[in-house]
Amino acid sequence: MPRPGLVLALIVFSLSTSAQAQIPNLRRKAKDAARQAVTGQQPQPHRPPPKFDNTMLELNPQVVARLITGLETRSKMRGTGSQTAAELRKRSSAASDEAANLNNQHSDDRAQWVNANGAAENCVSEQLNNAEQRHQQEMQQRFMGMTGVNTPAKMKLIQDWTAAGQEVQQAAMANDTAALRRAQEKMNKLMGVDAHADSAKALATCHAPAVPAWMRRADSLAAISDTLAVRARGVEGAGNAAAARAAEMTPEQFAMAAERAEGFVTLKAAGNVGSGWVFTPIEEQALTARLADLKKYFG
Amino acid sequence: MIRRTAGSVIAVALFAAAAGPVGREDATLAVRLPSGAARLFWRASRAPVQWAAADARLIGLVTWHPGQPGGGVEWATLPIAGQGEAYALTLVLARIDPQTVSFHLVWDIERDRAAWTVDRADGAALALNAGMFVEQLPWGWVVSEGRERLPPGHGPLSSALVGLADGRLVWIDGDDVSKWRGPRGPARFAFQSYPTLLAGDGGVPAALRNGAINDTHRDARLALGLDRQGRLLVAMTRLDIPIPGADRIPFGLTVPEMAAVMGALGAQHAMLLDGGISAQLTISDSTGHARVWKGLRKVPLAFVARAGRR
Repeated sequence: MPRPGLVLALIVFSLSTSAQAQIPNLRRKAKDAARQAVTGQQPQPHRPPPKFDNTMLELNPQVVARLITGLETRSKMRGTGSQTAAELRKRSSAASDEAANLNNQHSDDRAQWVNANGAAENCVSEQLNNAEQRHQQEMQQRFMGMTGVNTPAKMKLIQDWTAAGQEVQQAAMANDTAALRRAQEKMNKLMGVDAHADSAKALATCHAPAVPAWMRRADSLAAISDTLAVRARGVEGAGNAAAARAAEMTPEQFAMAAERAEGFVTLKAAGNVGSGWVFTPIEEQALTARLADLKKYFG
Repeated sequence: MIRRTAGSVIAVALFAAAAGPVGREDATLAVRLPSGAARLFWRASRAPVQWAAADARLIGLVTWHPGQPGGGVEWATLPIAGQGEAYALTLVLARIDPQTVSFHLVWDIERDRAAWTVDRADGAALALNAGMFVEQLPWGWVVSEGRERLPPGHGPLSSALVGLADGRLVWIDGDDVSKWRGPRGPARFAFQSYPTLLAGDGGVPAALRNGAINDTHRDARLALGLDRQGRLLVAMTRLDIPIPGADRIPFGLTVPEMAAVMGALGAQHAMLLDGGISAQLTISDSTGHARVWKGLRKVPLAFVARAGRR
């Protein structure tokens, strides 16, 4: 058994030879030496117990019982439609899987549709640009033909045209899309342009592909999946708050306790719960005693 | 007997001095050198409010290894020391050139449970858990393959990473992501996380400096950042002690300390991802071998980088 005097001498020696801030080594050596001096035991691996504070509670039997009450409350929380978060997640996953299956079955078809639709969109855009240019040319010719005697009808057209042009400018500067649309409609009317007819003609010319039924179904399922996921997340959030209240903990304390308990369940399954680093003996005992209950939530 | 008792008292005093609580103001971070010495690179009482550049005392000691050929990933490990149970940690580091990889945000829920682990990375140049989680589902905004799966979350200390269809990355400090949303918005992938570690040009948020958030709790940490060269930075802490499974024990740094690590690495923006038992990372090395740092929990969302542009 080493003698304390020798231990202290070794500490002094280690201090004198490691003046260059050998922080971890020194600390470990000092701890090992001290433990040896007090207990007479050989140095063991460094094992500070977990430090408990306002966030991290010791998982003693009472706290574990409260945690399980909270976990049970969370698992039973229901949202609108009386479904739990787990049920909503399951439905969301099922819808997403079905959408993925449809997409996988038709992966080439979707790529072809996307290409065809992209080409049609470009074509429509080109057709509409052409129509707009044609309308502008027609309007120019109309103004050119207005030389000669100024009739009241001519004067009114020029005034209305100028006013509508100013409205377009002002709406654009104000980034007011509704006003811009109204002003554009006025100009179209003055030019004798029927925008809906132009669009319909362009769509017919460009042969925009119809959305296939399977794609409509896949996209609809994906949207349903996302909606259910949003609802599930809402229930999860409400469930966490209710769980913390049921466990008589703050949300932070509950989250930390649940995470540590989940870690215990996983580490236990792996055969090592942290060699005394993560859980105190009291915690190990309390968590082991309720392992079957905890596995229901984390298994 | 008396001599022995006196010796024990002195030894216990030394033990207590070595292991005793360290005040918040005295918290330090140091790189553990091969010689056993330590090189200090951060002290709480003199912590920078802004990291204007990488700190040579840290970055100068990092030896970057090439990752998977063509993968645009470099990686490194660095032993560091903090206070308390953080006295022996390993930093696992990676930096990613976004010009040479394609990024994917993987949504992985099977039935009603989160299902992703690094075992599903399947030859990725790099993969890690992304974002934070409510219970089984991700917190905050999630866009995957151009589809918005979940709407944004809100909070002053949230940050977001957005990948655009043209491959560019956009980092968002704060919770206003409205510019990048929409049914046919420009985001190919996006996710939020919290807390923000660095914002603006390497600025440490006030909440991390004035105790508004818990700045003493220690946990295994995983952080993502963007440096001034447009590279993504990843930093993960792992406990470095000689017991089986120690690397999966969730002890590590505080939030302000993790901000310091990211700042010292040269990050301009940074945020924490879910640490604790969720933190997991895999990097393919230059031989294609997957280096794996596992977590204890399956997660619903993963950020994956694969070699080659999309």
